[in-house]
Amino acid sequence: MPPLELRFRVASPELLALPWATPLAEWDVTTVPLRDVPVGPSRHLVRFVEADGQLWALKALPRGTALHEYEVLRAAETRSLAAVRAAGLALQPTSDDAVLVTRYLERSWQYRRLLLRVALDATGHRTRLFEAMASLLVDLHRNGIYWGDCSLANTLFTRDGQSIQAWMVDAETAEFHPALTDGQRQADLDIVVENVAGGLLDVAARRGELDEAMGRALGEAESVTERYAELWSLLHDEPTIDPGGTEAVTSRLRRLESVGFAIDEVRLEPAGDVDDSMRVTVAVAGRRFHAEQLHALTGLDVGEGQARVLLGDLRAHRARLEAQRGRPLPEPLAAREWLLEVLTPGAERAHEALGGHGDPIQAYCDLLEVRWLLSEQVGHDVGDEPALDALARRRPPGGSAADLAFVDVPTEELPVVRLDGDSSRDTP
Amino acid sequence: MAEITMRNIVKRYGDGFPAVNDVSLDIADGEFMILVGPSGCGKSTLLRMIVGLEDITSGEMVIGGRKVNDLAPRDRNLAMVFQNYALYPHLSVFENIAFPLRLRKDMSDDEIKAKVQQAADTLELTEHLDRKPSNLSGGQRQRVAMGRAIVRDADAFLFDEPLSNLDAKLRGQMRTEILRMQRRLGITTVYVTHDQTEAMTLGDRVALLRKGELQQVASPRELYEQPANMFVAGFIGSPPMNFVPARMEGDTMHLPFVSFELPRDLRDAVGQREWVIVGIRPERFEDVALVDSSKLDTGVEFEGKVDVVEWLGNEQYAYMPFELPQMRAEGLEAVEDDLGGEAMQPQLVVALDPASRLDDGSTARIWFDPSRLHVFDVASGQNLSLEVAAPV
Repeated sequence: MPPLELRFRVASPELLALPWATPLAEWDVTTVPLRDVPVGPSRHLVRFVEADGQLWALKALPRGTALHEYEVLRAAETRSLAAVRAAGLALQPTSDDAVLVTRYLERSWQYRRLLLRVALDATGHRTRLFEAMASLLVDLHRNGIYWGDCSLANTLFTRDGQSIQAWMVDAETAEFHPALTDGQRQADLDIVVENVAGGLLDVAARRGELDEAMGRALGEAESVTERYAELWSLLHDEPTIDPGGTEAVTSRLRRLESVGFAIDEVRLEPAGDVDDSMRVTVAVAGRRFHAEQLHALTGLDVGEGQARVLLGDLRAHRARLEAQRGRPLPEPLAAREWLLEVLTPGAERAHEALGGHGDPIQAYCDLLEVRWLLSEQVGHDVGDEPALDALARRRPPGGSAADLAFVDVPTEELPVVRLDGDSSRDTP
Repeated sequence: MAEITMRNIVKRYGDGFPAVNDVSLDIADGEFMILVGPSGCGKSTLLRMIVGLEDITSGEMVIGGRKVNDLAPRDRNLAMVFQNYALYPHLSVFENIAFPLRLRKDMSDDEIKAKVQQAADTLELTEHLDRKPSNLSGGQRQRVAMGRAIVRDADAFLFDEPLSNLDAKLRGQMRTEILRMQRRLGITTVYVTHDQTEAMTLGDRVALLRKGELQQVASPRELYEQPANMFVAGFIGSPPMNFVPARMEGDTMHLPFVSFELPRDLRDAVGQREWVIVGIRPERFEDVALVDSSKLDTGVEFEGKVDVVEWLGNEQYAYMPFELPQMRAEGLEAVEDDLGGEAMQPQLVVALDPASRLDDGSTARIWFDPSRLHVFDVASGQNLSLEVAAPV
C-alpha cells in the first residue's frame, strides 16, 4: 500500500488534523466537523467540513483524476480565473483513492436553488445567469482552459453588482493548454448547450413545468453561445479601417471596457499593399477594468460588476461636489471623500436594511439600483430612504438585480450534519 | 457506420515536438480499435484529432469516405461516450436519454420514442424507462449515459479512458457493458486506454503507440504471441515478459542461468550478433516435476533458487533471481524507461501450475522450450524471431 501523501496550500491546522488516511465515506460526524450543504447529484462523493472558521468542500476521486483536477484548478488560479480554489490534495493509503479539497465559495448559489425560487418569466435573472456562463467560458477559453463538461450543475453563481459571476467548480474533465483550438472551443460550446438545456429541463420537471419548458430550454441554452460569440468576436475581430477612421476603434475600446476588459495594447498595422487601410488588433488584459480602477482609487477589492456600479456612484458624487464648490476636484480626493462619507455609511445602512445578510458592498449596490429604479418610476431622485424601505420590506422593483437578495438566504450558516442522517435539505 | 482512415497523421506542437508522428491506420467499419500505450505516447492526441479537438498538422483524416481535417467536431457525426454523462434527477430515464434528440428539433415524438426504446432494449433498460435515475444502480446509470450516445446515430463511438474516473468495482462491470454494447450495435469504435488488460480484453485490434509512433497494429493474440519489438513485448502481458541478456558462442546461447544449443531457425535469425536479448513469457516456464516426460527432452532444464512464491489460487508465480551480466546496449535504456524502468530485472518471473509445491527459498528445476523464445536485437529492439514460424 502506498503511504498517505498530503499537499496543502493553506495554513489551517484543523484541516491538517482531519482523518486523511480514512476513506471520506467513513468519516464520522461525531469526530469530524461535517456540515450539511445541499448540493446536487455528483458522480463522486462530496462532503463539507468546517475547519478554522472556514468551510471546505472535499471530494473523493480516483487518484489520477484528483491530481489532474488539482493541477487544472491551480492553473486557473494562477490566471485569476473564476474557479474554486484548490486548497489541498490527499493521496490516500489505498491503491487508487484521493480527496481533493477546495475552499467553499461563500455566498454562492447553485442554479437549482436559484431557478427554483425565480419564476420562469423572471427573464432578467435568467439572462444574467446565462450571460455569466458565457463570460466565464470566454475567460477560460482565452486562458487556454477547455472545460469539457460545462454545465449549470458544475457552476456556482455569486452576485456581483447588477450582474452574476459564474465560477467553475468541477474541473474533472477540464484541460489546460497553451491555447485552445477552434475545435476545442466549439466542442465546449456544443456541450454547454446540451448541458444547460438539460439542467433547465430538470428544474422545470421538479416544478412540474416540463412541457412549457421544453420549447424554451434550447433557446435559453443557445443564448449562452450567442453571448459567447458576441464577446469572442468583440475580443478577436481584426477589422480593417481607413486612415482617420479612428472613431470605430475608440467605440470598440469603449465597448470592451464596458464589459470589463482592460485594454492592454491596440495595434494599427497596414492591412495590405493596395491602399492605406489599417488592420486593428486589440489585446486585452483581464476582465477587471472597473475593479482595477476602483482599487487604485480606494483600495477596495471588489468584483468587476460591483466596481462598475461603485465607480458610477463615485463619479456622480464627484460631479455633485464640484458643482457645490464651483471648482474641479481631483479624482483621488473625491474618491477619499466618497469612501468615507458615502460608501461606508451607505453600505452599513443598506446591509442593515437587508437584515445583516450578505455582503455590505453588494447591499450598497442593491440600494443604488433600487433608488435609481424608484426614481425612474416617479421621474425625480427619491433619495435613499424609499430605497432602504423597499429593501427592508423585501419589495424591490420587479426585475431588479436587487431582487436576488431575497431569492435565497446565502450559504453562510450551515446546519451541522445530524447524527441520524436526517439532515435538513433546504435552509430556510 | 463508417470506417476511419488515417494517412500519415502528424501532430506537431508549437515547440516542434511531434506528439503524433506519421501515423497511418485503417479502422474498418464496425471494428473495435484500441489505442494504447504509456502516458505521452500520443494516443489521446490521436483520438482528439479524430474528434476534431486537436488540429492536424499534416496528413489526412477520413471518416466514412469524407475528409474531416477541417470540420468542426459536431459536423463529424461522432459520439464521445461518457464525455458528459450527467444524469438529471427529476427527469425520467426516458427523458434523460431523449432530451438531446428533442433539442435537435428534427425528429417527431414518435421517432424519438422509437429510438429511445430501441436503445433501451440494447442496454436492457426498458423496464426502467419511467424511473428516476436515483432508483438505478451505478452500472445502470452508466448505461443511461451510453443510451444518450446511442440515440445520436453517430458514425462511430469514441472513448477516452472512460473507466479511469470510476471506482474499481464499476470499472470491471463497465468494461463488459461497453463490449456488449459495441458487439450488439456493431458500431465502429475507437477506445483509448493506458491499461493493457483493457486493451487485450476489448479490442478486435490494438494499435500500440510509443513516442507518437505506431509500434504495431494487430489482434490482441498476435500482439501477445508475435510482438514486433521489445517495447511491444514488454508492454503487453501481465506479469510482463522476462527479458534476459544472452551471448552467442557458435550455436550455443549463454543465458545467465543456463546454456543450450539454439534451434536452427532462431540461430539463423540471430546472425552475426554476439549479444541479443531473449524474451520469455512467465508461463513458458514449467516446474520440471510437472512436465510430461515425453516433452522433457525437447526442452532446456535449469536449476535456480526461488526467492519468493506468490500463490493466487488459480495461478502462482515464483521469483528467481539471477546475476545480470555486463552488456553494452544503446537504445535499451529508452525502451526500459518507456516500460516503466522494469524491463530488465535481475530476476525471472516464472508462472507455475497452482499444483506446484515450490516454496520460498527452495531450489527449483525449471523447464522451457527454446523454440518459444523471442530474440530481440539489442540496439533496435526488433524481434528477430518473427521470421521464424512458431511451432503449433
